[in-house]
Amino acid sequence: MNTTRRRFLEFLGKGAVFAAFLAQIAAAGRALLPNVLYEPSKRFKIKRPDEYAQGYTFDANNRLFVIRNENTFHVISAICTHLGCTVQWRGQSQEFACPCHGSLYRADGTVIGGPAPRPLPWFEVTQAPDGRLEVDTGTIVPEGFALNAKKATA
Amino acid sequence: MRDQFLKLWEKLTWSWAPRSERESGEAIVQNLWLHWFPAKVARRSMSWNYSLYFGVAAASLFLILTVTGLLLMLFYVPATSEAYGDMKDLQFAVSFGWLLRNQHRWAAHGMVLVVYLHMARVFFTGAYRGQRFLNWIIGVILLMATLLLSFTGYLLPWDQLALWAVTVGTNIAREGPVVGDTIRYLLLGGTEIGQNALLRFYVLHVFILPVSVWIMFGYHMWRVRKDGGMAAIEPLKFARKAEPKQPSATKSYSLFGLTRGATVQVLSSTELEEKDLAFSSPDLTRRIVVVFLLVFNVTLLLSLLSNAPLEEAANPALTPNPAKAPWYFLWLQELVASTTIGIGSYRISGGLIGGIIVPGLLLGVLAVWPLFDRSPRSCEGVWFAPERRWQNITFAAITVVIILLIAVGLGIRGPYWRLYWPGQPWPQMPRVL
Amino acid sequence: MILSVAFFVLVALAFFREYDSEWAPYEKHFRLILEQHNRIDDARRFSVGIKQIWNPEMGVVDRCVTCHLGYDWGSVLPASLPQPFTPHTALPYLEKHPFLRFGCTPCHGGQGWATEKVAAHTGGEHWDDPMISTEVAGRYQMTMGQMVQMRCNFCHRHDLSTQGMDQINLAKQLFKKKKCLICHTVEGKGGMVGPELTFHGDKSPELLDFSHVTGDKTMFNWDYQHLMDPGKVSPGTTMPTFGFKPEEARALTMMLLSWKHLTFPPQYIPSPIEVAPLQVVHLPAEAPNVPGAEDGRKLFQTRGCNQCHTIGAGKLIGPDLAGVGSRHPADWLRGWLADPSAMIRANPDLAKWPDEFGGIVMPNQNLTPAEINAILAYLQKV
Repeated sequence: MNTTRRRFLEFLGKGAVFAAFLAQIAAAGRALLPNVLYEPSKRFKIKRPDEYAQGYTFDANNRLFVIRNENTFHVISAICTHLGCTVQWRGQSQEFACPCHGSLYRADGTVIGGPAPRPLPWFEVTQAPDGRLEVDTGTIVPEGFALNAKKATA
Repeated sequence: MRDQFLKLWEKLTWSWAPRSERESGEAIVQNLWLHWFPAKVARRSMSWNYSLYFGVAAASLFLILTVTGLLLMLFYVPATSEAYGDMKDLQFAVSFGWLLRNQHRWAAHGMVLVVYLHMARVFFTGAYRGQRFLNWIIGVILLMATLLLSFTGYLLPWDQLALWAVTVGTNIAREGPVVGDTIRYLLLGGTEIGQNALLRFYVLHVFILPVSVWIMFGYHMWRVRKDGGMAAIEPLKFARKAEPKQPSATKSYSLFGLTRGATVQVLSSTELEEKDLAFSSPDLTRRIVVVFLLVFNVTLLLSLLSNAPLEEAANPALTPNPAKAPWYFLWLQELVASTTIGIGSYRISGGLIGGIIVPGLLLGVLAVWPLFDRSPRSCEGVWFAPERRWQNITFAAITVVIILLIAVGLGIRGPYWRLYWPGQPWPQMPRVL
Repeated sequence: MILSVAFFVLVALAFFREYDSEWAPYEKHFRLILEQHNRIDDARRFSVGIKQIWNPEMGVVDRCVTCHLGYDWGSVLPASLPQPFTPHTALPYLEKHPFLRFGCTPCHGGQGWATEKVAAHTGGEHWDDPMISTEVAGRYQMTMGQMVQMRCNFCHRHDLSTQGMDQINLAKQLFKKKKCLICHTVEGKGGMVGPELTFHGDKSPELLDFSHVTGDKTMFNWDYQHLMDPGKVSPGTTMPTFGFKPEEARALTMMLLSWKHLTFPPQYIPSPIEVAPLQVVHLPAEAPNVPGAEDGRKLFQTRGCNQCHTIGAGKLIGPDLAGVGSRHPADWLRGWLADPSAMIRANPDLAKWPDEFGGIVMPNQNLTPAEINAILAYLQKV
């Protein structure tokens, strides 16, 4: 074999090994990003529309607020956008307050003060076929979103 | 029979207590543990006043952590259903469990502090110049590894303190631009702090990080030898008027063939005078044992006096009030809580500014500082050299600010993140009964 | 040299602390007690060491029995033995709750994991489930035997009445008599004027407003004072003052606090003793449409009037309001809507009125004048 061909074949050989090595590292990295999560589903049903009082109801298990206005509903997250503490609703002053670092939000989730960088997100809420409300915490909707619930009695 | 025992004892321990200069030299070459020391070391390098033995203290603490950590692993299962109960068992049911855990925790706090003090010492003595720059970088990496070890260990008890300290920390990670969310996803193995996160932090804490630290520690020590010894010898070399003898081209050590040079013994023996040198065994080894014993005693004493805290079982639905990061991160939390900037209607998160940008900048500046140190080489190995005054003052000032922020976070921040001066009682937090 | 000595001393101290445990002397003493009562064989077999009752199904790890060694010796040792050796009080239902299955903490509370007295009984700063001791019960003017019933109800929630739980039985009767379900939802049934109470015991005390609560900031105090005087603890509330006696309010508070999420396997669920029948609750019907009074009708529904009043469907909590416009003049109705309690105080012939309605006075709804006008307009047309 002449030298250039030998060199080329050497290069191919080393290159192949190197590429394979890189691919293995990439595979290890990809394995560390889970495809299935043992976490509660982001899309879940809550109660029927007529089981919610007017105004703001705190759902402690799901960490969100269900707000009812006559027959329209919207859902606001109760997780402070600063560092993840659960905010509290102050009915007297109509605002959300976070106990951890003092973030304050208006009734629609926009920030009044404190270190919170973003407003409280509104989650998509739809009505499932069986009539119950269904929340998707993986889908954020713009403020002003409202669901008109059917068969909701006052 | 007694003779045989004495002979065996002699065989095992002679290198630790050499009786002649020849034995001192032989000890280094024949004993595995001692072989990483040079046969002779400069008296100045060994002096208490020079290094204050912070590095040795840090290594001692790491050894204590490794051993107590290994023992703790026998009592702990990294499962969210088991972890808290195991901590309670260690607290009440395991013989000496309280001692194991307390000592582990005090050594961990101590190590963060001592590693920082060691770094401060290296900075104030200008011991990062020239060829020692690489070792400085390794030291910075070791500092980060120490903090990461502490952070990953913090989650393992799976109590309220653990869960929320890590919530704060990982939410800061999310604020990183572009890759922030992916990094958090990788770290937690999901979107929430749950079983996956606990397992990953556990593996990081008991294997990946400690092994990395031991390897880097070895390299850190090897670099000291390669650099000719500690920077304390530089003023001695500087003072010598005579021409240094040429080093003989005998063996050279290298790491993957990346560095070159003659052996350190050859170099230092040609550059330092006999009166400046002492035998590593027994002089240096004795001092190291003394430091280790002192450090161990301090951790023991603290373990006897003060118990490691354990709060209620982790409850993702209830945020404790106040939710605080571990003390060495409190200054960061203070920054994060107060650096959210609003520009018009656009808000830049404090998590990004105080949590990523500021510490990132500090770390970066710390790492490359030696490159910008323009003071004369005579400042190396000298405490508070006058030509480096402004550098030392800057370092000290930043340290003081960090200490102040930590003090505020520790003693003055109370529920709802309000400030309570010392002596002012905290409001009674509501209970059930 | 100094360090070596210090080292030795510190290690010796560590050993001393480990072996100078609180529980060891008690155990050695118990062996003596066994011998004194002629149980020589048992005394010989007795070994000193941490003891625990472990039931993973219930999540019970109870080391109380390391010190409370006499618990199962009721048939042999006298009840006069001092604590911690006192045998467990002989109770009729102990057989149904064997120690090895239930341990101690499900009934008594406290920190089962602990082997030191304070940690086990009160738990210290970071344990929110103290043992129901005489001292804790005394804080709320109860005996230990009464307050423990709160924990019985963790599992016996669905019994209509249970032997040995007189306080809780009283609470359940009151709950039915006062028709709490009209305004509150429990387990899917009830009204929505007040918050859902199904798992009231799981709510975090930190989320409550204690600004009008006197004494310690505890959930017990909040619930008790709220039951006694809702308007004081939650100003502006529509919950009426029911006039409970203190013991009644205490019983109800215990019942509310006992409603928690507890998962245990089916074999631990007690067979219900006279299962509480599902209370039939009428969901409020839609208020009838009346032309020209749409605002008032909306208010009638959204302000909760229809929780207590029907229009044409009979008495609920309050009277049926069909035709009320012809029974009372406009001014009277306006005054009533503004402040019912003031009306009753001002008119002696109304004093007996609340008796017809279970002793409940219509709470002030805090209506604005505009709202009063709108509702009035509606009521005059129905």
